[in-house]
Amino acid sequence: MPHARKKTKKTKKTIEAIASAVSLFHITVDRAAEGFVLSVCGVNSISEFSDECVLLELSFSRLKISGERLDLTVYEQSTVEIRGKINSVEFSYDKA
Amino acid sequence: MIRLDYLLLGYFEIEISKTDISRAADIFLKNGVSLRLCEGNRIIAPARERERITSLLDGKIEYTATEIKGIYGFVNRNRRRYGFVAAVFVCALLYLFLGSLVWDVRIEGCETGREEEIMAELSECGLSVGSFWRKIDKNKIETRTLQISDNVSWLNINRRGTVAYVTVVDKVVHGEEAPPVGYANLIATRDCIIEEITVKRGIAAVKPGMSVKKGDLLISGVLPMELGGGFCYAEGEVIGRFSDGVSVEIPSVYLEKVYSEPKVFECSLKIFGLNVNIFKRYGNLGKSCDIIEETKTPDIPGGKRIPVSLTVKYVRSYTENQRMHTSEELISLASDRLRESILSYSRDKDIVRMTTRGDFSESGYVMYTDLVCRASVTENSKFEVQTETK
Repeated sequence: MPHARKKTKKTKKTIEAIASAVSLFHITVDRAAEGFVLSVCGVNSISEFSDECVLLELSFSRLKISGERLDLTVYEQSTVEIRGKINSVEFSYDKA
Repeated sequence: MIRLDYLLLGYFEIEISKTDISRAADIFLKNGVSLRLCEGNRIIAPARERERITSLLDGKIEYTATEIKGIYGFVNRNRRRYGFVAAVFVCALLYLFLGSLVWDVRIEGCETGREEEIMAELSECGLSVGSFWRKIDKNKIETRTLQISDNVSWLNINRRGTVAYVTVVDKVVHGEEAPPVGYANLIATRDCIIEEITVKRGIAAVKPGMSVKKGDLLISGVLPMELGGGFCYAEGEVIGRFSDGVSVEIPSVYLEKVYSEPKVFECSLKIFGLNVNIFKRYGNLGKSCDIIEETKTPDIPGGKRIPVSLTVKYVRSYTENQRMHTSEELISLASDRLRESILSYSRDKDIVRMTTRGDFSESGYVMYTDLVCRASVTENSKFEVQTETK
């Protein structure tokens, strides 16, 4: 029915608008055998990855994780997990 | 370390240069692909994402991908090897079948040497090596074993894997024995001189230092009128000193067995109580031969047993030749045998003095030992009391 189709499109657009406005960013940290395991949700992109450094771009900031023997696991829905000997986590407001 | 789901369902590895790894990680994140990046430039991804990952990377980033690893990859590569599949199937069946049998029965908590007796009782009630676990009703076996056993007061059967652990508590008799019924005297078992007398019930008829003969009254079960009269079952201990002797004779001439090489005449394998005959030689073995049975079980670390053993029977024929002992051999043999006889004789006696001598006779060598011993010299002699009716 034509009226019902218009309503579904409108609902979808509303949901997308709300989703972009609400940040899904959060971090959880746990101890692990190899050091720490850091889960980060709300990651937009990965700028850099190496054994000593992981650089993540979030919606309004940047996160830099430094350490040794870092492993990166990529999950669906903008979630990444970093394992290894994490020495520092730097949070910066300005995005490059 | 590889994740369990990757191991079971299959995974593959991709190698990308260190300069491109960040770009690749970003592509995977934006496309919702789950995988793991480690060691700087190595990617581990599930097998189900292979097509998607390769399509995302093709034309953009140079990479090398391995074949699918893990259990799924192994099965996939070998799916056309029907012999291998059949072997895995047979092994699985064997594993299931062998796991349903009792491999060993271990007894805990009983005295050393009684394990075989308890194993025999359990076997009679339905638990032995080779029994099917499904047919074993632990409660029934425990109850039946307690009913037929004279020495077990409590029994518990536990299963750990394919081994049955049986915990046993032996019967312990508490308290004194029931008092004897009737009347009896204590009399001397041999001629001796009384050294000590201890009366528990009755009246002593002898004193230390007295000489008695075999059958003489030592403790009387008849109570005197001064002590109220009546009769009792005399009880006590009387130690007497007596002389005795032990002798052995070794003949000069003896038959020496000369054995030939042992020959195997039967070989069988025992698995879970079933005997599988491997080899048997038929025919007459001969009158003069010894049959030796040897059972070999594999050595398992930790002293454990497995229900597999090999039984081999050998036959050793021999001929008998007449030989003569030398004088030294005669004396040595006589000493050894006399020592054994004295040990056996003195189990319940104290030897006070011992004198040994030996003589050569026509037929061999005789060795004597004269002993002076101390021991209990009592035995019960029951008597009945008849009452007169007027």
